[in-house]
Order: sequence, then structure tokens, then C-alpha cells
Amino acid sequence: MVKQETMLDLEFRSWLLEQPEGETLLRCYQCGRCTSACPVAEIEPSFNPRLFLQKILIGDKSIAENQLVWNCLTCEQCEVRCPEHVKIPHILILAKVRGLMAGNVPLAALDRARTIISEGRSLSVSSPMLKTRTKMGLPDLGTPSMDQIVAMLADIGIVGKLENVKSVYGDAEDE
Amino acid sequence: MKKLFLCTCNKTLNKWLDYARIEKEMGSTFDAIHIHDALCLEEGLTFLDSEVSAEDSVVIGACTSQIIGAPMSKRLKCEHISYVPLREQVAWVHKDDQKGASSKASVLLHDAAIQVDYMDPQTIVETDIEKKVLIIGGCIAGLKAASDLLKLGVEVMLLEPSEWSRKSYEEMNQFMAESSNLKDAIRDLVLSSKKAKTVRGKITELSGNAGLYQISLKHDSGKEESNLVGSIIVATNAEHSPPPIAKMCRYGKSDRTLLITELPTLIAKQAAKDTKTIFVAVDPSHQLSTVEGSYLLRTITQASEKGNTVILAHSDISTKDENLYRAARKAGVIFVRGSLEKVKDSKKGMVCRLENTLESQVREFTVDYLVLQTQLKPSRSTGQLANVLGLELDQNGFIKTRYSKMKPVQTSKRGIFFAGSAKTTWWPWLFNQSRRDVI
Amino acid sequence: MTKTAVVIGAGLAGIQVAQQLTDLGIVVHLIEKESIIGGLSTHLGRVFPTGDCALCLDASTEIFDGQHRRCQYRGLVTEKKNLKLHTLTEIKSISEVDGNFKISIKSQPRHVDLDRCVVCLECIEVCDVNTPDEYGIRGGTRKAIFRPIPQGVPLAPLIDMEHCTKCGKCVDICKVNAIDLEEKESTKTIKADALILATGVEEKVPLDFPGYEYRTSEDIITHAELARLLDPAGSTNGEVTTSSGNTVSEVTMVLCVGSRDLDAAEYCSQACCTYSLKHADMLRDLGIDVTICYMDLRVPKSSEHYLTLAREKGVKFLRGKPDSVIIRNGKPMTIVEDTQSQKRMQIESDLVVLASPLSPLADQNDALAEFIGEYGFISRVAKEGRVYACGTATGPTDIPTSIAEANAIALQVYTDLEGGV
Repeated sequence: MVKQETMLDLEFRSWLLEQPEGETLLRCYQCGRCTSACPVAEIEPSFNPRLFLQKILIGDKSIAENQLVWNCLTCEQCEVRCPEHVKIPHILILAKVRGLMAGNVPLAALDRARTIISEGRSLSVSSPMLKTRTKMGLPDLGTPSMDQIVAMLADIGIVGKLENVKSVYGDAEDE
Repeated sequence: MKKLFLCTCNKTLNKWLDYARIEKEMGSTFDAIHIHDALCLEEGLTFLDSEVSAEDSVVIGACTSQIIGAPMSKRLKCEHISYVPLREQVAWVHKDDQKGASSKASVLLHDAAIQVDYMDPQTIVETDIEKKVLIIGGCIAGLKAASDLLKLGVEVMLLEPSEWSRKSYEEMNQFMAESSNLKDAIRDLVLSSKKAKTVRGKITELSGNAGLYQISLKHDSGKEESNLVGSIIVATNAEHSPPPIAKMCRYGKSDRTLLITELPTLIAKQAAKDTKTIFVAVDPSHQLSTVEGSYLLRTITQASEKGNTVILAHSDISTKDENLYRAARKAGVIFVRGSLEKVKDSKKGMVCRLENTLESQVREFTVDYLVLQTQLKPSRSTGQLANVLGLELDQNGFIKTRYSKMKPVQTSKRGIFFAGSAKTTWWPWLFNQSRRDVI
Repeated sequence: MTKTAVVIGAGLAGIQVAQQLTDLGIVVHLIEKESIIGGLSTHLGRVFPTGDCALCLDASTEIFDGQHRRCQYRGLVTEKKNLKLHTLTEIKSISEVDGNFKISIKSQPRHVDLDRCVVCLECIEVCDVNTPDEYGIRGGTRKAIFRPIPQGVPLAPLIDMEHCTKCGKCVDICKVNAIDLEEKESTKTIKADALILATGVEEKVPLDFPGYEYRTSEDIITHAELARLLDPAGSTNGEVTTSSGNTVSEVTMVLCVGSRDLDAAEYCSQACCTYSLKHADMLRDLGIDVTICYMDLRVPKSSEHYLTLAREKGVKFLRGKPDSVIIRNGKPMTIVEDTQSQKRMQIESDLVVLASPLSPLADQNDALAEFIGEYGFISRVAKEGRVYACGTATGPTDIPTSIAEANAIALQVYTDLEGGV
């Protein structure tokens, strides 16, 4: 069903183009090879990387407000096949970042982001896990350099904001 | 004497054809019959030398006329010669039927015998060729033709449209190249074609043939003159015309609607901070040519680089230079694929509505300007000109090529050629039109 | 003094420029690396925009009246007195001395003397060797002494020494003593006043384009191969078959395989849209369903009727660049998003035809390196007043443009050499 929408608000597009590698988006000529290469699109027809790029290109920020973008596995199959070298997974990450601040983020992802700020890792490491690692002969994980990590995250403006974000999907979201 | 020479062609033709029977059947038709192997080789040619005198009529039955014809015509002293391609037309096509093949050979040889009887002696016809070319101008290609021909020492008469100036070349040809390149090219060409006699006016009558055409010209001043030229080059331009959607887009009614040809002027006048939103629409019924596509891409790139927000509604993007398309995308032009459905002139701006087929969604854009891609049509004078010159037109009203694959710059009439967009496509080079006059 | 020009490449543009120059009184050496002239045209069967035989030539004024068309076979290019054709010949080096070029060439032996051979073709009959035919498809074969195509010029056969057993049967049957099995390669130096590069393009064999499994299946072919299938004079007599010999009922065409692609050919190959449409029309005439996957259809005005025809004949158009063509259940399957319905499709067909880029041949020869420009193409005036280029050597294009360019270059060369009349 075709629905009508009005534009033009280019704020989201401009923001994205200013980010590192963001302007590779402009190279896109909408051939659709990314979508046909995408393993997620094969299973979930509504997941369409080419369509995401088209929406961002014409200033439509709905992709940053939709949970669908979180389905991207960042497998980079699309980027490998893109004839114009658009950094598609990276652009989708930027869209996730944008959505994240407004709460378009699965709780699990938000938790991991917070774990990085607090522990320097995306997953907390429990003592049973460390024991298993030792048993398997895996090397010591060491201690993350928290000072540097927090400084970096503060630099990109995450620290202090993430704490207040609430996932619009709440706890109900399944993984 | 009427003589028949049959070639056995490495002893193959007499294997497929019954030469003994043919010799017998042809006995009464010819005064002498010779059978020889490989007539086209030196020993065969020497044999022909010794057997043929200038008064003879000769029929040669051999492989194909093109293998044997060229070397033999140089060696045979006589004028009346007919070649019968026995191998190509008989042996190869009737391989399994020696009897039938031999009968066909006899018939062909017999016909050739009659043919040589009716041949007229060769006469040399002298024709006057006027080493002068008329270029019916208006297109930059006409200037290039003039310049090239002058370099060859050919006299050139350049017939330009009424009230024409160098500036007209820049304005009328701007779609062909980047404006700075175009200006330079025109300056050089005007300089190098200075020796051409320039007339402003039109051609009113044509008679004669290739090599010697009589033309009547009517100058803008009212003066009439008659001239002889060897050849004519039609280099009338194409014209930009508003597309069919122009009316729906309120072209001519609203100040917000422009043609793409007017956009460069608008951008040039624009103050640095006064950026606009511009919607450029290509008529969906029109398949963009590469020239049109390149011009479109160059123009919208410039508009976008000036800080304007440019949206292009298009179907297939056509250009010879993929990098023009890349540059337009890089400049930030927003491409939507679809055809303009509805346009509303409101206080806030022109509201342009279309379905973007790449997302199956209807979108509305409120913009400061709506710019329409033009369509290149033959210049207004083309029909009348073709009438005067007796040339055929194609279904779009452009002058038709004689044979579009191998004779791309020839019109339907010998000695009349075209250059440039008189014929929908444009080559930045000029063509070897008046070879015949040059030699 | 008579001026000499060397034309490198005897494709349509090379032949045209050579004929024009000889008509203008210039001595021309036409250098061709293959055994016959015609270049790409010898592979194509019918060509646009007229749909007639690819071997058609614009006849020279010297032998004919210059107004009639002649095919290469009947064109007598080899009979022109100022035109010396060197087949099986490559450029070894080019040097410039006192404003003249010294071009050294190396010719491979043909083993058949062009001045002696009467083209009776008995030698081909007696040859016992059968080897795959470069012009054939679906198992077509040829002899060790052979003619690549029947209309090829020069008409005389040649011997492929790689497969020849030197049994001597051809030598025995040739009563005009045209065959020399021991002929050696020869080198020669030509002095020339001008050099014209008409080196042309080839259809790149899409072996290394990821996703399209050209390497693994005989049912994934290129347009040049499809042209061989469609050619009534080809090894399948014009029948379009799969690798297993079955008749084909569905064909999918993929455009821009490697063209407009930063990883392969960055440029647009220009001709593929039109020849895909031409082939689609021909396939529809055989009752075969055709789907064309495209990004932008770029059809020159002179060939627009192919697009109209394709639409009328019910060719299906799908806007999207396939990610991959894979083999599923023994058949090629094209995976593509129809960008205009946002649906990801898997199209099964009997045959997939890839429009591979047209890539320049000039950059395959080191001797020409100094003239090569962007993407391996050459600008029309590669060196002011001395070295020129025309035809697809300057960029992929259609035949009319090549011919017009060849005419233009001939005039330019003449002007530069003779300095006007």
C-alpha cells in the first residue's frame, strides 16, 4: 500500500553525511545488489538495506525510529558486493546510533552499551567464565584500560546520555 | 572472337562439374574453349595474356568474381569480360548433384555469352566537380567542418541562420559541453574558419547533382544570389523544446517553473547565501539521450555545488561519462525515480508530487523552483530545409541517414552530408564529408 | 612524396580509416593480430542499429563506386593497391626518428601462401585433426587447417601448428603449392609518417567477477557467446540450447556485470544495453522468455527501436543489479532485488547471459603504453599531428560512431600529412 509522506527535512541526512565515512552514502545509485546479497533480507523480506539507504538519501529518518535496523548483523556482505563502495553496515550503525538516543534500541543492546561504559567490555565476565577459560587453556583476558575507554566514549558524547535512555521496547523484547 | 576459359581451381571444379559435357554444350556458343588450372595464379594469368587479344570477348568460369576479378581485370587486354562464379554459385551449393550442377553451369555460361555480346565499350565520362562546400550552419559542428575544410584548401561558404552571432553559438550549443570548454572551442573555431564566406539568410533552391550543385540563396538583407558548390553539409542545430508535462507544471504561467536551459543563468545570478530548493523533472515519456543526460547532470551538479538543494525526478539516467553521474551524486543531488504526477503552485512554493518507485511511496516536495528537462527537437528550419534540399526525414523530424550503420553522416542524397545535432547525435569531430571534392 | 600511415587493428574502424586513407592516396599498412580482419564484428552475427550482418563494410571508392555496401568477404580490402594487410601480426616496438615512425612488427606464420592459395578448401577436407572451434559453442570443432569463419578475409585458410600433426595430407592435395609447413615467423620494420590506433575492445571474460558463477557453468554465458548461439552460421545453426543440449525456454540477462563498478570497469560500456535488447528481441522471436535485469537503460537514439520492440514483444524488465547467479538444481538462478517493488527475487532460468564490460585491447601491448589514457582508452589525438585513435579504442561505442570517427580521423590525418591541397 502506497502511503503519502511529505518532506523535506534534511537534518538527519546532513548529520549522517558529516560522520566519518558517512558521505560514502552519496555514492549509492540504488542498484539493489546489497539487498540481494543480504542474508537477513533472505529470511526477513521487510529488511532491505537498499531501501534504508534510499530513505536516508531523501531525508526520511524513519529508519532510525524503526526496530528493523537492529536486524543488521554487520556481516558486510553488502559492502563487499557494493559496486560503488558504499559503507553500508557503517551507515546502518550510524542510523542505530541516531535511534539509540531516542530509545530505538533493544534492551539487550542498551545493556551491552552500558556494560562497555562500566566495565570496558560488551559482556560482563563472571568468575565461572574465567574458570572455564583457564580450564580450556585460554589466555588471560587482562584488564581493560577503563580510563581510555571512558575518555573515548565521552569524546563522542555517549557518556552521561546513555544512562537516561529508555528502550522503547522495554523488557518484552526477545532476542 | 568469343572465348570461354574454364578454371579447374586446384582440380576441384572439374571434380564437381562435368567439364567434358559443359565443353560439348558450349561448343556452338563460343569460338574457343580453354580449360586451365588456377587461372588466378601467375601461370594462369600468363596463359590468359597469351590467349586473349584486345578485340576478344571473354567469359571466365571460375571460383568467385572477387578472387579472380581483381587480378584478371588488370591483365586482360580486352574490354568485354564476364565472370561466372562456378564454385560459389554452382559447385558449393550443388555438391551432391553433379548432373544438375553441370546443367546450371551451362545455363550461367550461356547467359554470360549473351551478356558480353551486349556490352558497350567503356567510356570515360568527364564531370566537373566544384571544389566548394556550402555549410548550412547553426551548430558548432558546422564551424568545425568549415575549419577542417579550409585547412584542406577547400573553399567554404557558411550559411548562418538569421540574426546570428558568435554568442548564438554559445547559447544554442551550451548543452554540448561544459561552458568554459565550449567558449574556448567556439573562439578557436570562429578564428580558424574566418576565411569562409559567411552569409546570413537561407537557401531557397537546389538543383544539380553531387559534385555540382546549383544553389540559390536569399540573404537577410533581401539580396539574392546563385552559387555553384560541390557538396553541402547540413549543420543545423537541435532545439530545446518544453516537454509534454510543461503545461501541467505551469510552465509559462508561474515564475517558479523554468526549463533546464534557463537554470545556468539562474545559478550564475544567485547570491552566495541565497540558496534554493530546486526540483528537476524529466518527462517520463522521454528516453534521455546521452547528450541530454550529460547536460542535465552537469547542470544539476553546478546547482547543487552552489549550495542549493536539488532533487531530480528521473527514469533511466543516460550519459557517456559515468563520472558525470558520480559527480552529481557526490555534489548531493537527491535522486528520486518516478514521474511527476501533480504540481500545485502555493504560497510556500511549488508542491511537486510523485511516486518514488524505489520505495513505492508517494512523496511531496515543496520547492522554490521546478525545472523541466527539455527535449531536443530538430531546429524549426529543418523541415523546410529538407524540402528545399530534397532530403528525407526520420520519424522524429531529424534528417535521415542513408544507412545508419555504415554511412552515419550521409543524408539520403549524394553529396549532402550532415554534421552535429541535425541528426540527434553529436560527435565532437567532423566528418570526412567532402572527400569526393577533395580528390 | 607519398606518405605512409600505419593503422593498428583491422576491426570496422581500422578497415574504414585504412580504406579512406588509401582513397586519399596514402599508403597504408593495416596491422591485425588475428588471422582475419573484422575484429569484434566477426563474432557478432547481426548488429545494431540496422540489424543486418556485422560483416558489412563501407566500400572503398577505388574498387567500387563507394556508394554500395560490400561485406568483408566481397570487400576486396586485400586487393587495394595502396593497402598492405598484415595479419597474425603484432607490434613489437615503435620508435620515432627525425619525425618519422619506425614500427617493427612480428608476423606469425600462416603456413598458407596468400598469393598462391586459390581457396578451393580441399586441404580442410583432408585434414584429420578435430579441435575445439574458437568461434563455436556447445562443442563446435574445426580442423588444424581452417578458416575461422567462412567469410573471413583473407579467404585463405591457416594452419594452427599447436594441433597440426604434420601428416602432410594438405600439402599433397594442394596442387598449387600454397602450403608450407615449415614457414617461420618473420619480422619487419615499417617507416611511417602517421600512426592510427584502432585497437578496439574485447568483451571481458567475466571469470573473476564475484557472485556470477561464469566459471562453473556453461549455462552462464556472455553476449558474445549468445551471439554465437544465435548465429545461423554458427555451430548450433542458430539454435539456442543449454549445455546439456536441451532447448531453452527462459533466459535471464544481467546488465552491468562489472561495468559502472569501482571494482572492475568504472566506466559504462555503452553498447551492452542495446545488444542485450537486440538479443532479447531475437530470443523472443524464437519464443523464448526473457528477463532483463538493468540499472539504467542507455540506448542511443539510433537504436531506440530495439527498446520499443522489446516492450512490444513482452520482454520483462526488472530494475536491479543481481548479487549473484548460482546453480540450483542444475539450472542457473539469479538472485536480485526488484528495486521497484522492493522484492528480493530468485529467478530460475535455462540460460543466464552476462553483459560483461567492453575493455580496451590497446593496454595489452606494451609497445603502445605511452599513448594509453584513462581506463586504458586512448584520446583521439594521442599525439598532436602524429598519433591518432578511432573506434572503440577511444572508448566503448556503437558502430555508427566508430565509423564516423574513423572518417573524421582519416580526414585529420590527411590534413596533417598533406597540409591541405
